[in-house]
Amino acid sequence: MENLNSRNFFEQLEKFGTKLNQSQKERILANIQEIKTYIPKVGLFGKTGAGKSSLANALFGEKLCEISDIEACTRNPQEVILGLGENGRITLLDVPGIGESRERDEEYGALYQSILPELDLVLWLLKADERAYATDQEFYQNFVKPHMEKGKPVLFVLNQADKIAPEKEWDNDNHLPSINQQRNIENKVSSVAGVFNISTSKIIPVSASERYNLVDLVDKIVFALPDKQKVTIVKYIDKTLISERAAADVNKSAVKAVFGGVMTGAVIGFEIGGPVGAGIGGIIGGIVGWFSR
Amino acid sequence: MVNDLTVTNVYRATLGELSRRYPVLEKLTSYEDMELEHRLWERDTFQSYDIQCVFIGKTGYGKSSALNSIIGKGVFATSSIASTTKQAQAADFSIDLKKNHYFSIADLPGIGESLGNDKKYMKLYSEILKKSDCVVYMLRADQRDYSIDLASIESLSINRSKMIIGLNFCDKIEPINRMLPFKPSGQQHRNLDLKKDIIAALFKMSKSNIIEISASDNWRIDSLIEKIYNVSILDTNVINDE
Repeated sequence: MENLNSRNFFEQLEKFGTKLNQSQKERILANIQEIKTYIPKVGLFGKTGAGKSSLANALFGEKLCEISDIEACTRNPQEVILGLGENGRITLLDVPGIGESRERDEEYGALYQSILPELDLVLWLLKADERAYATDQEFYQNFVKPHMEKGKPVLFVLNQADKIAPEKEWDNDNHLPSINQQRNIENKVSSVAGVFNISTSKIIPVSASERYNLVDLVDKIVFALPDKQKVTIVKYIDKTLISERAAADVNKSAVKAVFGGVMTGAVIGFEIGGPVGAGIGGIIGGIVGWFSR
Repeated sequence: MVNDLTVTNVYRATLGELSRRYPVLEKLTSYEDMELEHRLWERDTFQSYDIQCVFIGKTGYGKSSALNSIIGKGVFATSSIASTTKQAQAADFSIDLKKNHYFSIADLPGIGESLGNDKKYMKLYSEILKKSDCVVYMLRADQRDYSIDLASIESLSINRSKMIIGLNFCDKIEPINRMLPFKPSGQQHRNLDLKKDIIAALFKMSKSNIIEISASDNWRIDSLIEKIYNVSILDTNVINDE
């Protein structure tokens, strides 16, 4: 699949009954080129100690940042660029946590403001077992909310859900909350929705260290992103965290991103739907670097 | 309303009830300098002299839980989800009923829940703190965001010689240990010690005035009480200098 060139891609398409003229082919090649060279940017925001680095490590399956139990570890905006190979790359911005000191907060506010416009996805991390959210509220209102209102995908990740009370009931064997914890997690989600005035659907309780509910988070990421961003971001996420429905959606987006400007959504569905689509979806997956399962 | 210096009493008992649990407090019965000006409080129908200890800190940091752990009864309302303390509340222990001498431990509404509330409550806080012999500023061992705490301590001009840092949630310091009853592992001990060094430097506090506890496990509550006692009766005349 890796070595697939454009000529046999178009041959395959013809085999499936999709004939394209020269300008359509050129448009498709341009689309593919754009996907391959697009470098998506994901920003991890939140207070120091919320677990931004651990979440990045859990989602992207690599040790991106040395995690300290004690001291704030991300001092400068850590731009981690993953996947320097053929199939593009991704930039993760693990920005310094806010709330450490007032002087730094001012500095970081300016930093958040300058990097927000270029981000494709913002994950705002909160700690599930705390409720002192004034710092988060202030930063969210001043810097993130205006972008969110204009449609920037922002998800609230309620990390360290394993530590929600009664934390000693956490099921260590199955990595799951007890019934009492489950109830408190649900209450917490509603209370956070109230504090930030956002929909509960944008709040995902997880535990990066326990790998709890990360699949749900990835689902939400997948369904929050536009096609090109989705295809280019999701291919770096740990494959074990991608549900079947998320994978199917990514494939659909890959098709749409490749055929964008050539066929309308409805025509794409008609022309390459069903078994034909599955075959072409695989080819497209290879081209854009996403392998369907 | 919040500008009034009102402390709601939620519990009343004799000091004996508390000193049975913490023998160090027995010494308060023979303490002679009770009747200092800052200790004078107007109660409903009478005046009293109180050794006042106040717990302050961010919402959800376990102030009420620590107080309940001290008393051994759930008299201060707690919740793991929503904040509960909306006014200053106190548990009063009579040292001498005839002289109206009390040892009082109080809980203030949590800081840092929302931007508006902090401003609203700051005046109330500072008035109560001025009349207090000991301020326990609660931090969490599993958190490292201090900007609100540092700003609050500064704006309330809390007298460092009267301040103790209670480092709660030690059971949650990494690597987390879900053992019952809680006993810190070797690695947790080392991390706690490091944490205390960092906090001592950041808050300009002596490490010996940072007391690590776990309120939910009743862990080291006796050490906290001992420190409260020592700070409360130590050179009380400097309290109003600020």
